[in-house]
Amino acid sequence: MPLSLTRKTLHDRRRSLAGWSLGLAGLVAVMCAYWPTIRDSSELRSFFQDLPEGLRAIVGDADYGTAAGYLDAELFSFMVPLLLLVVAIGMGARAIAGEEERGTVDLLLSLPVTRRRVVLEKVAGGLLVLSLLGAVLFVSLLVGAAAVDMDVPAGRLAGISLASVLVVLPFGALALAVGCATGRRGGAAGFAATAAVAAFLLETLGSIVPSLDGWRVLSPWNWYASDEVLRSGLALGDVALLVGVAAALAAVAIVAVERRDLGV
Amino acid sequence: MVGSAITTSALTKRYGRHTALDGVDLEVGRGEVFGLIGPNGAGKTTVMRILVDLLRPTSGSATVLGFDSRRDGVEVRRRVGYLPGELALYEDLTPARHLALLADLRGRPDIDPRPLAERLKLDLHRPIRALSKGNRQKVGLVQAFMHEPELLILDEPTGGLDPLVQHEFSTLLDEARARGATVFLSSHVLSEVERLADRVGLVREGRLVTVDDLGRLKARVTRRLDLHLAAPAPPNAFRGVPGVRSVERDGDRVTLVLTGSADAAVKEAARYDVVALTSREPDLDDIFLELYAGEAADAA
Repeated sequence: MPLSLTRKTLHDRRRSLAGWSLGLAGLVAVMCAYWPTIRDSSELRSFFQDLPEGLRAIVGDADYGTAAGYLDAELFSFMVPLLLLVVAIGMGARAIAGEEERGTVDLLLSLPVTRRRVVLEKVAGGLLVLSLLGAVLFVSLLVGAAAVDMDVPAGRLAGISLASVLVVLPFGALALAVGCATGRRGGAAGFAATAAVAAFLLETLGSIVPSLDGWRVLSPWNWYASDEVLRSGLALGDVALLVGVAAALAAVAIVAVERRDLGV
Repeated sequence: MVGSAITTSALTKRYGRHTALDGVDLEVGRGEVFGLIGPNGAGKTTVMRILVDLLRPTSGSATVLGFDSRRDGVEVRRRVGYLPGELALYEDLTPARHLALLADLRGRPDIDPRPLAERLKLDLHRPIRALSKGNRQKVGLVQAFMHEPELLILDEPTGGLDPLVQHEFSTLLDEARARGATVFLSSHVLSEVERLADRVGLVREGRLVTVDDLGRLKARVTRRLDLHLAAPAPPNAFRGVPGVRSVERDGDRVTLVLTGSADAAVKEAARYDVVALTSREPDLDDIFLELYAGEAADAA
């Protein structure tokens, strides 16, 4: 049957998928529950508005006066992408390097399948897992926003759910590529996590430090721009960049794993 | 179909400065049971992993069933059943699910592993993480045999199997041979290969030292015979008996070093009152020493 490995990836991740879904839904529920208090408290709002500019940049240029600004600051500038990042990097690093570390690569690749197919099927599995989490996120937002009467259109909620899945793709694909090139799962995850943190710092510090400002366009977090997505919707150019970089890294992963000795 | 099942030419594998395989030329005929023996780390696993394209040779090439191991890896692996030397399985699956996954990936979801599992007494429905080493090895054997491959590449196949299962395993090999399959297996124990293989290749430190018919190889090899006699043997006992290369006496104990057949020595021993008789397996190191001594003598 086709896509056996895609189905296996889903099967393997079913428990963690359930766990992360609960986590995401819970996080959204808690943040939505606080919204009425924030909305009705002018002191809290002015507290955030009076923060120094640098600090405000780091907490996501928080605009607590609107529901969109609140969601951006509390969920999408940091927490939600972080959770999805952990999932994406874990799956990317595990795809081939995990099989090598456990030694199961010998059985898997003594079958009449190409290495390219193994990588592609696992990528498809990873994308499905992330899409499911994105869907859970969207539904939680929809329910939460309706419950506390947030003034954010469903389309924007769909957009930001999609964007927060898309922004982790380059880093998941980077973990995949490093894992495919080296066969070291821990190293691949560490490298991709470091890259994600560095890119995040570049984006946030770049908005404060003038000399870094020009480099911000290189950071996937800059293409993500959660505040703009919530305010005015997804920008196709940014989507194309995120998807394009992820796809290019996946292609690098395939080339790397095809050239190498496995499980040594 | 004529031609050989496996041909390697000048197969070499280096890792940095370490040479794992050094110019191995090997030919295994179709329908043959070929045993590769050598100490651990000699390069047996390296050869096998190159044949299924998990490793790429530094130089030289390997042809398997007429296909190049690198260029036509998928075609090779379609026709091969491979048992890894260090078998690792997906721990959270049951054997049934695991074997179904492998059959699926072979594009052969129709394969039914149950008859084989039954013969090997493998419970298909306990999670693999709860299985003993022997039972895991059975999962490995089932997946290697279940699609009736043209070529079986088995790396240390009998490790961890109890004697009853070993017997079933040699029956499986006989059946595979009967339907025309080729078997390429490895071991670090000579006696194991002895019972199964037609021809053996000896590897050491990445080189194929010799390839021979098993009967002839054993004729070249020395073994020890320990005799416990009822009374001390006379000083000239066993002198000049064909095949006896040396005699050590220690009271009523006699140790003979033999080459080839033990027949003459045993018949000679029958003249005495024998309390006990033990034949010691030649170990691999003895064989290699013997072969090297032979080569050195030939060269001189």
